[in-house]
Amino acid sequence: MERKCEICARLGTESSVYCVHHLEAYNHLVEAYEVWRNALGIDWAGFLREICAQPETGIWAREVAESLIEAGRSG
Amino acid sequence: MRERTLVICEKPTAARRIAQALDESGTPEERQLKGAPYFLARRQGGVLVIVSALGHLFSIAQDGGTWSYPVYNYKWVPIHETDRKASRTRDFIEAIGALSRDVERYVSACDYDMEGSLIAYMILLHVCGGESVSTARRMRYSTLTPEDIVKAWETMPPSLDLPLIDAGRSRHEIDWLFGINLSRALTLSVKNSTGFYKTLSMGRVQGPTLGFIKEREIEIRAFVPTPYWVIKAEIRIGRKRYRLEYSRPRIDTAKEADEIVRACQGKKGTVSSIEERRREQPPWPPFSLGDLQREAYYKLRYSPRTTLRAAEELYLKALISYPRTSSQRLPPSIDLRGILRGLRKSRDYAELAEALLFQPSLRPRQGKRDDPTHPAVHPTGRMPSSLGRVEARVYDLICRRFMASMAGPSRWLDVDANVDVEGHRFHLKGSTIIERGWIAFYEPYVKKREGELPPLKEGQTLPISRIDAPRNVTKPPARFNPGSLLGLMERENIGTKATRTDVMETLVKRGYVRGGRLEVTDLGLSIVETLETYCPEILSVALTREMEEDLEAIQAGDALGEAVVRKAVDALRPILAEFKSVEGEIGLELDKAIRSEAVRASILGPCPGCGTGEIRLIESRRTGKRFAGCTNYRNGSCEKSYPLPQRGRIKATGRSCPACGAPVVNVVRRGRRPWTLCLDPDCPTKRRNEDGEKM
Repeated sequence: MERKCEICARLGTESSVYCVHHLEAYNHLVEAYEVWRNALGIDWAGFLREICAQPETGIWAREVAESLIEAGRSG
Repeated sequence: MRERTLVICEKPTAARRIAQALDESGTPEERQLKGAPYFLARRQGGVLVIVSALGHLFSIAQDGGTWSYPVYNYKWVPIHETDRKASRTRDFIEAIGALSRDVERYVSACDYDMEGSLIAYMILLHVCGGESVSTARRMRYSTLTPEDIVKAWETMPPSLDLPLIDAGRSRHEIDWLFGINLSRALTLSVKNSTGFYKTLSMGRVQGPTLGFIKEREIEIRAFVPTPYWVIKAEIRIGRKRYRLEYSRPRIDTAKEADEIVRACQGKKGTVSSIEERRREQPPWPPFSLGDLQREAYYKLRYSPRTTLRAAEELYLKALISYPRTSSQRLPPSIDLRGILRGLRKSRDYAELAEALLFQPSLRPRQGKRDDPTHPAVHPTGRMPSSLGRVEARVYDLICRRFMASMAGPSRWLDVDANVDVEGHRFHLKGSTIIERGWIAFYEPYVKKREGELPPLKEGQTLPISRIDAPRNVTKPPARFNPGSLLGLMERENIGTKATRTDVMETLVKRGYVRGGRLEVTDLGLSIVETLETYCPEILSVALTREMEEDLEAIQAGDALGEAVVRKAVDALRPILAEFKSVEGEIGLELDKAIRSEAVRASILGPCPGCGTGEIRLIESRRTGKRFAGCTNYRNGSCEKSYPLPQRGRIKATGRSCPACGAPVVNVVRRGRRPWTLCLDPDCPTKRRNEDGEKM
């Protein structure tokens, strides 16, 4: 059965719970986390909150960050 | 009997100017036939019958068959047979047909470019008879001034410019073949798989252009900013403050930025060295059409279409040269002094033109791009009588750029003083204009970044008056605007100077891209992604560019149009075959995007009733009337609804009423000024007090 992206109605990719666009945004988040951690010494949750607060953050990246925060809360 | 010559012009305004220039008395006889104006001019003992087209009078249509794809059979037909709005062209064709019956000679006097040559050729071929093509001659001119027109008449070559015509015809045929087939393929994919009809279009240039916008949109949507710090410091010299630049424009960590600030706070800096450098900035070359459109967008905020229209009007008024040119060069054959003497009569340019005329020789800065048919856009030197606001501003831009291109370079003195503070290096920078050069001519449209420094000495100490390190984050790439997209299309060599503006507008009209800052819609994104998956060739820049090169080869006489069209059909066949085999999948994907875009377009704003739903425009299936209601109505949690005006287009503004919280919309109705409306009829802002005044 075809799996849908956790965030949107697109088809998910084989290796991830996201579609190709949200997966790309997720990868960017992971890359950017290293920069934020070095710069501010913040943890992953703090980083996600920072990203959600930035108007420069792209909509797909924000959606992934919000879903990860939500997952963190429920998990 | 006097010899009669039929002179075919592109537009009635151009026909009038050409008739006035060629008639020996300057007063040609103006007549009408079937509502189409024409002129009788007398020249060298003969009569010139000067007729006009209305742009293209012939276009391509499918030759037999049904509304399906693939389609490879086509024919050239009068344009009124394919476009209902072009009904007036029938009268022009009939008038030209009647007037061509007793003429001995034919002259093509349409604008000298591919389209102009093709317009006259099609009229000769289909209206005047095939023989006229072999005997017709071609006038070549770049301005509609009497001098240029007479010169073009006296020096016209003995035959038509057949390679240019062949290139123009092939371009139309290839664009038609790609456009009709791809558009039908997309439209039918949705219709055949869901029964839903929506016109979708795609073309040879549209595909790659949409691809560029989509790539940028993906970068923006997936963008994650990263932080950096900028050291901002100021020193005070006398009463004035000056900005210091830190030796590194960006600091990567908060800790390091903080350390720099703490080390320098309240300290004094020492001027360790002062470097002075003289710099020259040469003038910019005169405008090609693309340059003019970009400059008018950045400096005047005019869309490429607005600029093109204004430039065409200026050309028809004989105020500027032909604007559809790729050239950034002014050849020696142009009488620069004559043009400047003309501009000198204008109060706005008298001083500037005089300054240039004073120079012993005029050497305009030549750009890299050239165009075999026309020079760069330049004024003719004729005085404008009355110009609309847009035309006047575009004219001013062209005149100033023309004059600036002949002026000397601007000369600057840059000063860079190194200021050391507690082991940290700062720069105190200043720039002063020594000689304005071309900037004096182009003044309103150029930003001067000037900042003079006071006299400084090595060893001088300067107290730091302020220092901090604000946190910044990286920015996503900017969306394309009409100016930057036009530039990219030029660099990638897709489309022509005549078609690029149309391509951009079609993308907006079809709902693939939102105007202004060009933002791809979900429908546009889905179309590109679907095509990338199933038929990536449609989006291929390489394929489009190769065809452009083939078309240029026809124009240069190195290839035949027929062979190039055949090659294009051969490229199209496998694309369409592949598309057909996966039509169902494509249709379902596109249908999803169409529906999601329609839902997005119908959202008017957040619901003030429940706070979680959205107010949506809804059309009642039963009555056909429309109203606005909350999206939570379906799950029974909100019944908020509002009446709507039943006529006109309702557009969301993205705002909520500050008094009642209901969405505020724009209503656009033909023949009326658009108005803004709070959806709630009981909104306090709409109540009137006892005197009948709005509260």
